[in-house]
Amino acid sequence: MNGHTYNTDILQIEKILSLHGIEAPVPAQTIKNRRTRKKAGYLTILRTLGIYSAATALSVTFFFAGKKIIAALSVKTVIAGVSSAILTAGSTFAVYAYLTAHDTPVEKAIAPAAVTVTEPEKKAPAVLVHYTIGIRPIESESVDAGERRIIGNILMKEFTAINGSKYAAMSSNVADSQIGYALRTTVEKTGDNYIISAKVIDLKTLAVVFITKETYQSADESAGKLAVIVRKISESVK
Amino acid sequence: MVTALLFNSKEHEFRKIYAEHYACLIGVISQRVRNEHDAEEICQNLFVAMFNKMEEIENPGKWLRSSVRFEILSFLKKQKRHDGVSLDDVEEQSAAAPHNDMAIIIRDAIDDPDNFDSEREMILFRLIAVNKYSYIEAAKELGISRRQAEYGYGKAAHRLMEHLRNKGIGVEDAE
Repeated sequence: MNGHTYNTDILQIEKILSLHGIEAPVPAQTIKNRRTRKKAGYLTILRTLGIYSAATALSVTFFFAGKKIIAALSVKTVIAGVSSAILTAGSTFAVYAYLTAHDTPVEKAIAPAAVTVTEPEKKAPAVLVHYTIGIRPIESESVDAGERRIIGNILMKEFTAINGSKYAAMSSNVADSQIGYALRTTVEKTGDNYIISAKVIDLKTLAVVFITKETYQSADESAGKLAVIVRKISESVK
Repeated sequence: MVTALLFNSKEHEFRKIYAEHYACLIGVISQRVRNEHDAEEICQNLFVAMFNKMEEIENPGKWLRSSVRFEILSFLKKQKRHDGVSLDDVEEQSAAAPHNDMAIIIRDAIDDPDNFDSEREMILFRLIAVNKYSYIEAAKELGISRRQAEYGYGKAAHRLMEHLRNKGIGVEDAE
């Protein structure tokens, strides 16, 4: 059955009703008034029946409001609403999937490093840095393996802290394809002074993107110097 | 607790019936009593009576349609006692519309749920065709979309016209 036939029937039936005086038009204002009083009338009925309560009144308000809303919804509004909801949900999922995909290797890489940290964790910084860096074993000709390991641990701890522990990974395996940069650190002792030099290499271009040198005299001082180096590295590669 | 749940369920069912039938009933009553406030009072009395008998009523729509006349008459009788208004005058006034066999057949057809797909479609038809509600106004009354109202009305008009044609009534007869 098509719309055309319906239209013909509508015209015919309306004509018949009109010719036989069966129509009883209600003025628009009366319709409006009746609709306004519809809910109030229902509440009066509930009072008469003795079943009126505040909860029922609230429920009735939502019930009648819902009917008006449904009538006001057009197909375009519904389509627009559903599309917006799908787009929002899709975008949220895409962002979540992206972040999850990028977080996973990082978290795995951080886990072993975190084991070596014995001091209380530092607060995450305001700025998050998105990069992965592979820390090569500390090189030295004048410092023993124990000191080198301590320096390496401090470096990893500083990286974890400065990158909010979630967006940077540390690994000694620079062949890992997830790693964008490699940090080569050398420490040498001359007299009472330690000289620490750090070089960051972009593993894609093999270009040296950062190089620095710091001098310190005691183990206590070394932590501060290494923190400065790590912050500078983060600034240069982010 | 169980009683409360059952009662709420009854109230909810009652609310749906009220929401669906209110506009149509108030329209019918207003035609008879010509006073909106009286019409509302009669309508409320009718629904209160229905609520108290809900367990016994099989078809609420049918019950409301058949009880509305009685409710109007009993209201007018009470009013007559108070105001001294002649009941005959009121009934005469309510029957002002021209009556002939064809008009009776058409009225019966409009009031017969068998000529429609559903009770709601019958109310929809009455609101739009008889009371001249717009599609959006009828949709608001029945809690349906404008498009549903338009489609439902077309369908109802088609079914009713088929019924009237079978009874030998067409536009040419009316003219």
